[in-house]
Amino acid sequence: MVTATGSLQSFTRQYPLSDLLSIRLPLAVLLILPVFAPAIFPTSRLLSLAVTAAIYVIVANGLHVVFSYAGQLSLAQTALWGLGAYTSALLLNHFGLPTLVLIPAAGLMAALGAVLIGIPAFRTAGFSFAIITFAFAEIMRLIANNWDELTNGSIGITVLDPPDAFGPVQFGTFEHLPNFYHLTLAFSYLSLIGIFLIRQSSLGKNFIAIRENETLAKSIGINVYVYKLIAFAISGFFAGVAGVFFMYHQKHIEPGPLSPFAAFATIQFLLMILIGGRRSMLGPTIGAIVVVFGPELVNALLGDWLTFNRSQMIFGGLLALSVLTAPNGIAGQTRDGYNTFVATLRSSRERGHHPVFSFLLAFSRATIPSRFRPRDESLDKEAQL
Amino acid sequence: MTGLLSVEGLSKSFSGVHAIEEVDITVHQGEILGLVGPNGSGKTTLFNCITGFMEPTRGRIFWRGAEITGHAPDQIARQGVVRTFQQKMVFPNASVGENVEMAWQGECDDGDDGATFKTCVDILDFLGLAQVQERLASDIPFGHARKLGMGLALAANPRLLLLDEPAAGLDQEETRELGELIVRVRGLGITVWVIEHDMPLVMSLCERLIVLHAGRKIAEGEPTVVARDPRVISVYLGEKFARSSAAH
Repeated sequence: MVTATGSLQSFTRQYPLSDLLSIRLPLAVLLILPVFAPAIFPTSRLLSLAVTAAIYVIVANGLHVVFSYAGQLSLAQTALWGLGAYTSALLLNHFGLPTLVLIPAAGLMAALGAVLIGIPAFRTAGFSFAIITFAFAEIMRLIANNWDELTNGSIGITVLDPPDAFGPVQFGTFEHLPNFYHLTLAFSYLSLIGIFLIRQSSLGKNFIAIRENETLAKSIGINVYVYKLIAFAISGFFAGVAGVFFMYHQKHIEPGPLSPFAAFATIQFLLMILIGGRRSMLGPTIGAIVVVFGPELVNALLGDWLTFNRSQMIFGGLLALSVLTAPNGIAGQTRDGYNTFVATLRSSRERGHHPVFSFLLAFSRATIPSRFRPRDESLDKEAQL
Repeated sequence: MTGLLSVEGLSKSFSGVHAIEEVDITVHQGEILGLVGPNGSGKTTLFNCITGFMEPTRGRIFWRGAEITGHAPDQIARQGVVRTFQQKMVFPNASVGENVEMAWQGECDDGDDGATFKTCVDILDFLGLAQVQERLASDIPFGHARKLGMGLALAANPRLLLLDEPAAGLDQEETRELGELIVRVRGLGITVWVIEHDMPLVMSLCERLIVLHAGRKIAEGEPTVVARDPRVISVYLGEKFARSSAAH
């Protein structure tokens, strides 16, 4: 009870109502936008990419829990994603289980996989953990590749059934792609709510304590080993659930070395988190959208002059540039910039500056990187969340 | 008087080097106990063994009559034995207030003596850190960081607080403040055991003093008595001085 009241108090202190309205309202509008994607995108190819982005958001949000919150570099995320996809594909093809059963089953299977990997891997720390998870991911892929009787080996599994209809609403990925998109999107919103609730709970506080200082976390009574396992299991659950949608969407899954489930493919999800912002709740979401639609955008702008490969290179260069110049990611940078803008505008207006001057000052402060302008303590303080 | 924590025949050696040898210590409920000794005498190693950060080579540790030898650090902390560190130990990328919230573990496990503080804000007020609670823990001055380190330990709801050189790196004024703070901590019903080099602080603060030298306990008792012990004087000031002071 004491904890609950304490965290509620800290919550209202952290997010006063005026703050919720000023910062989070525009954000909420942005967050609702993806719902209208079927109306916005002219082709089903773009909508199909939106489905991919929604699936990536779920996986990236899961990785966010173990990587950004608990500070553990897991390279097994795509393997757990594959475990979810294979579990649901096999259960569907052999037993014809309903979608509502497949989703938790795949999630729990991947969470179990994460726990089994985590039990030995969390006995080590730092890079050893990353390498052990990488090894397990590769082992899982090789099992899928060679256990012909179960997984159909390197040929993979084809799934023809669409998700079960919900009353009159059908989710076939060809005829009813907008419906399937909305279903996937709903789960990506759920994943976002999930990481928000985790961040606010004592669970999330313990994860962050472990990330920040493991020895100190132990000294104040946090069971570091168990909480790392919990973080990894949660991230596995997210990946497993995403696997179900991936399986329905792709209709065919295979375990080749270049498949999206291969161990090194996890790098792509780590990249999403770094681009979007490791310290921000929306970081993985923004990163996933950028990674999926970024190449499309670059190609749309430069496609007339360059081949697709060339524009991909330009996109890669832009990613490297963004990680170098914005270490807090797009979300972190935007938030810092917004806070700087509001704070500068307020203080400048209080000093009686002309509104236009105030606006220009605030805008320049917010957009020019801090290393190119003098440090201002009062602004730095507000940029922290 | 019953012992809150008792250490029996504790030894710890690192590949043949004996850091602690056959140490017996009893900590009594409600006291402020001092632990002094030259550098390398095994003080921090003793704390590490008691709090589970190191496994003792031999010997047993009892907390309220139950053996806790070899338990995990977090398990021991949850039972109410919480330590601080010599180094600056905080959660760097979080504000001072968030630091305490992260450490906040609510009620104590054993249930019989409830939480000392009702909220995290109480802890910040108690330490005088309320003004800096919005600041990043990595940015606050050293003296504040020290207090925050103690605040994190308090947030874990200790019954016995082990302080490892809390005055190291503090100036005179801060040291005096720290002394008052430790007395106030004891006033909350928390037993305090402190490793400290600052002798004036130790003499004024502790009701009982234990001296370690080369891993062995060489003296124990009232601070004024211990300070006159020839063995203690010889450890700190050399054989010659001990003989001459004994002659007087």
